[in-house]
Amino acid sequence: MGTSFIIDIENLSYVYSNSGVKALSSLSVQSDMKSGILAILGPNGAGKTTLVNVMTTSMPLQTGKIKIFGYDIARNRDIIRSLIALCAQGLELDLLLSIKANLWSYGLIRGMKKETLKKRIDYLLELFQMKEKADRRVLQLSGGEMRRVQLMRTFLDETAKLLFIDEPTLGLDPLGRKVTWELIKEWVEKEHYFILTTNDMAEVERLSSEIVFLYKGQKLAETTVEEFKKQYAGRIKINIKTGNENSKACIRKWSSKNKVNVLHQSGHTFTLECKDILIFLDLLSEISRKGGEIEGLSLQQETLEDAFINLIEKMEGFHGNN
Amino acid sequence: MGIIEGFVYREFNLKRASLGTFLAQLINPVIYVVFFATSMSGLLASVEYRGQTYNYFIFVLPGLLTLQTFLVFPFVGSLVASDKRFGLIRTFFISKGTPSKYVLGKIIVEGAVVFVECFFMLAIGFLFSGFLPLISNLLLMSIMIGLAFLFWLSLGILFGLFVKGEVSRAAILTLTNLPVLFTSPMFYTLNEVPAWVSIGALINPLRYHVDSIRDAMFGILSPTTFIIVLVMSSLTLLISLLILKKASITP
Repeated sequence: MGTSFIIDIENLSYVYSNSGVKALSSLSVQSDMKSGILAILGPNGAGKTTLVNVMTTSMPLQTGKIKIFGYDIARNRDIIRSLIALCAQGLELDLLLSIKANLWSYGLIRGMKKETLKKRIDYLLELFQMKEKADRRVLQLSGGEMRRVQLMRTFLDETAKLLFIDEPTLGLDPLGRKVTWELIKEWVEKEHYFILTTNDMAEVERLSSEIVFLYKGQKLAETTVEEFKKQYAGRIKINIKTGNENSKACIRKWSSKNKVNVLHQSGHTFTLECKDILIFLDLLSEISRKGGEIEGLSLQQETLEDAFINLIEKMEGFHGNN
Repeated sequence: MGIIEGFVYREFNLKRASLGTFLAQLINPVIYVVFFATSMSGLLASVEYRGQTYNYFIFVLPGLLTLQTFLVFPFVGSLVASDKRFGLIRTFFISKGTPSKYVLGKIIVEGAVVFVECFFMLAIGFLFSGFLPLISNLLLMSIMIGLAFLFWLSLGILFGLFVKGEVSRAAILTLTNLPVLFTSPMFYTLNEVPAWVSIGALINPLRYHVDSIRDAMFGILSPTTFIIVLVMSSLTLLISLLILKKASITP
């Protein structure tokens, strides 16, 4: 093995032969996945699914090198396959079979012992509250229930050390989401690793501390959620509802003087944007000094979603200008 | 063993899940024998085949047995295409389910169905004609049926992997099924057919399967026919396994 990286990708490129589209371009990612969860982010067409397909050996390796747990994907495909599990975004279930039959056949195909398999199926059916429907055909389930079955199948075999989950909680109700998040955290504690591809930024903020951001097949960032937010979403928005004309005049004057961006103004309501929260204290004391009144005040820190959008807009602007 | 058991369990449960299709699969061959073979033998009392005269009913019976192996081709093609389309091939192969185990699961379950079908057909044939092949011929016949089955199953896998879309598959089957069936000696001998049909028959694998099963039943199977069928089946199976191993498994 000889490396401490869980994921070691070196100069990975992938071109779809039928369309000629270059989905990945000289991509390199080295991660020891200390937090246990790595989220692959990026806009549609960034290459996320291609990357997961190549990493899970679903598609052949064209150029570059990938090592997972130190095993070279080109030489140790079978070992890697025995260490991973995939929960794709598509259904990927036997629709005509019952939930139990789907889980049972998959467990046997993964080489699980019947005794362990039975216990795991019972546990997961209970956990995902699907026991009553265990003998129902997958075809008869709702979209959210099908997703639960897929997740149950992904979490069936505890020998899978690296789990790839595409949009983990897509279509799940709040309870299903809670169960999934708790299960992921529980497995992380047991030294399992997760690679998530998702467009749900709230989920990423909740679960991951490490992200890889892809754009047009290239890596734009490999960092933590906090660092990413700091870099691309450091701004703070303040909404102020003024009580009189004094306050309005004061805000206008103050923002112009301090070069604070007024994002929006409608009637008595202002939305200001700034990088430093302390500067707003100055505004408030200014309003107070000038006899102004404030009826409402709220602060809003930019989220990961804002960081995502900011980075995309920056890149689109960059590409647009070139 | 557990992994193969997983595939067999899945295939068997898929059969159970579509019970109507499964029953039709078992009953149709019997209906063929009862209606087609008995009616045709009323029109054609006897047929001359390789210098011997046979009752038409007995002559056509191996042809109908071969037909059961041939029908595996579109059926397996459709199963494999659906497994690929719904990402199940990917799901299994990313686990410990190798291509050979996946194919073996299909061989065991579909093979069992074909053998049950053939057993029923032979039993009905015996009831209607009183004809029962020698045990040694029956064994040889079973081997030839097995080889024909493997050939069409392997071809079905390739068909399912490469022909995307139900419309394309249906179009290809419509265009090829009847020419393949009628350029084979399934229902008649090829002695009296036009030259162009004979030429078509030379490149038709079904012809060799019908010949081999019929010859085995009558105890006149030549080593050449046996080898041709053996090589055809082994090669197709090998190619389908190799391609299954190398092909992209993304849905």
